[in-house]
Amino acid sequence: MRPVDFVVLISALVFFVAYGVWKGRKQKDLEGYLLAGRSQRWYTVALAIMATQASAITFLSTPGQAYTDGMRFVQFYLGLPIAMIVLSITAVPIFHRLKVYTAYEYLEGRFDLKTRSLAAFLFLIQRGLACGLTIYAPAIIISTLMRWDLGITILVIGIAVVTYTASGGTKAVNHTNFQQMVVIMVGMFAAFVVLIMSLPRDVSMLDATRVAGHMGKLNAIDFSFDWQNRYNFWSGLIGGFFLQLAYFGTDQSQVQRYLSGSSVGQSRLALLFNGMIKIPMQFFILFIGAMVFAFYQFTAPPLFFNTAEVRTIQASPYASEYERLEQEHRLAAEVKSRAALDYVEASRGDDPALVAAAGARLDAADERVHELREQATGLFTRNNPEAATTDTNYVFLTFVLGYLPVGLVGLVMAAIFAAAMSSTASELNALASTTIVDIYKRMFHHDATGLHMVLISKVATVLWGAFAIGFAMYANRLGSLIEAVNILGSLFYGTILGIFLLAFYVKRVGASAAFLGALVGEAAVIWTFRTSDISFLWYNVVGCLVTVGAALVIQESGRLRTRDA
Amino acid sequence: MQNPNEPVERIVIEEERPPVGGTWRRLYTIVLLTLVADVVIFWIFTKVFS
Repeated sequence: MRPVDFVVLISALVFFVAYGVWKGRKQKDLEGYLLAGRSQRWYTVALAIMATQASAITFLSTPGQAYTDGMRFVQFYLGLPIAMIVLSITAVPIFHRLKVYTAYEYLEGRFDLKTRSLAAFLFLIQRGLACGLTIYAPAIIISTLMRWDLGITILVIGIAVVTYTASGGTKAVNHTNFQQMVVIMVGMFAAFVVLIMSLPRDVSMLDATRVAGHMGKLNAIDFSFDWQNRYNFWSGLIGGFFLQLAYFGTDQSQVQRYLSGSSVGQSRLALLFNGMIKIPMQFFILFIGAMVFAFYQFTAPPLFFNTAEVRTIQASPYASEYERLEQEHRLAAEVKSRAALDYVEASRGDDPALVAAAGARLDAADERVHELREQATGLFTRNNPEAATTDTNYVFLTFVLGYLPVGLVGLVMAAIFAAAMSSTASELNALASTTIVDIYKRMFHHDATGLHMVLISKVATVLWGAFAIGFAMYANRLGSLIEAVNILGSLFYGTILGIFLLAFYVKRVGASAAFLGALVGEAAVIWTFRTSDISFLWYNVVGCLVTVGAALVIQESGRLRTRDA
Repeated sequence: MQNPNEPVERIVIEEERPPVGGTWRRLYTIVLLTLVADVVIFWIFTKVFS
């Protein structure tokens, strides 16, 4: 990064913090601090919702995912629009009418305190750990590629977020989320334009798309059904529907965004807007990844994108062997580049045989490059069995740092920081709300009001921020536990959703049946997780359906026993 | 907090019209049609380029 890029990045960070603090000033009561006084317009809520869901890792990983695995990840979001409609009809009017501060508050009125506490507790564990990873995941990538200190990167993101989130509460979070989402989209669009302009002079975007398609990267829709296949039309539509319903309907970091809407209509419109925009947005980000892939068919990519692993191997006894692989890789990439240009030329003509022959040559050249990459990762593993052998997360940022002009690098870095900050801010805001409303006020200080509650909420935000920063600092030493934290959400979401569906729709189910049903549902998810290899999206379906089914059976069997007696 | 066991959806839906788009039913239909259009476009995209 050049000085101009640093100026752009630092200016953006200072602006976000200052704007958040300024927007969120003068909060005098809990409703103002935690729900922005229920005064937000739909477009502010909509962009806050989108910025909350789109973490920095979304913008770093998603293009990399298209680079390695193609665009099929877009199917993950197919259930989202339907979930937005269901929530608009059910959750939004119920939460608004009851004037709750958290989703879990509703459960006590509908069921009892233990069900509310169970849901709040599961949220605090899951989101508290995930919040640390929201900071850590982009920080490790940025610090590796920029050679910045990991601890300082985490501290910069963490302290900036805590400052405006604690200071201004939900209003500050929503308004900065709005600005951050704008910066993110401008940054991504600028990167896309430069990417297309960086293609060889006689290669158009259509040509690049043809090359990416030939190499299997444009597989956006797959109608085949397979339980083990993580991303296909059915898992995305059905499993994704349950996941998105759980995330937007029961996760306080999202519920709090639409509870801040000034009316049912404003909140609903925000969700529906998200339902319309989210899939095209993800498609666009994945398409950037596919175009980065196409770009690297004409321009030699690094043998391995994760420079931390490359530095490690270069300092090991395998250094000379790796250097030899790099030289061979450069030659193989040149061959592939020529094959890609031949394919472009052939695909412009009308001769299918010529296209097929050029495609076969490109495939053969690609095969050779893959072999060399596999040999390189084999070296990493021989040197260190724990070494990272995937570099998906590093692909997009490597392109940005290598090929974007001065100023735009700073803008894209600002976009990545903005994405990290927006998700973290919403999470801290929600963690503090749940701690204060569902634990502190409910269990210890029923009568606490006004400035006292605002002050305590600020303290809770700072403490959760300190926990998240501490967890992020420590995460480097957690190894495979990080993956466990990542799937933690999918292990609990289905059960929590089941509790809420019972609350919304099945009036005859009482508190004890719902609570016991949730325990059975959770046991079913854990059993599925341990004994089968079905894709994680289906855990949400299992947890939800078993919770609802078990609660119904328990409720009915209880009634039968009462009648028999 | 009010009693959550009271039926609420019907009252609120009838009370409030959307800020834009006419009726909620129309907006829900638009969202669903957008989803269908996305799937169809992506399917064509996959077929054409893969």
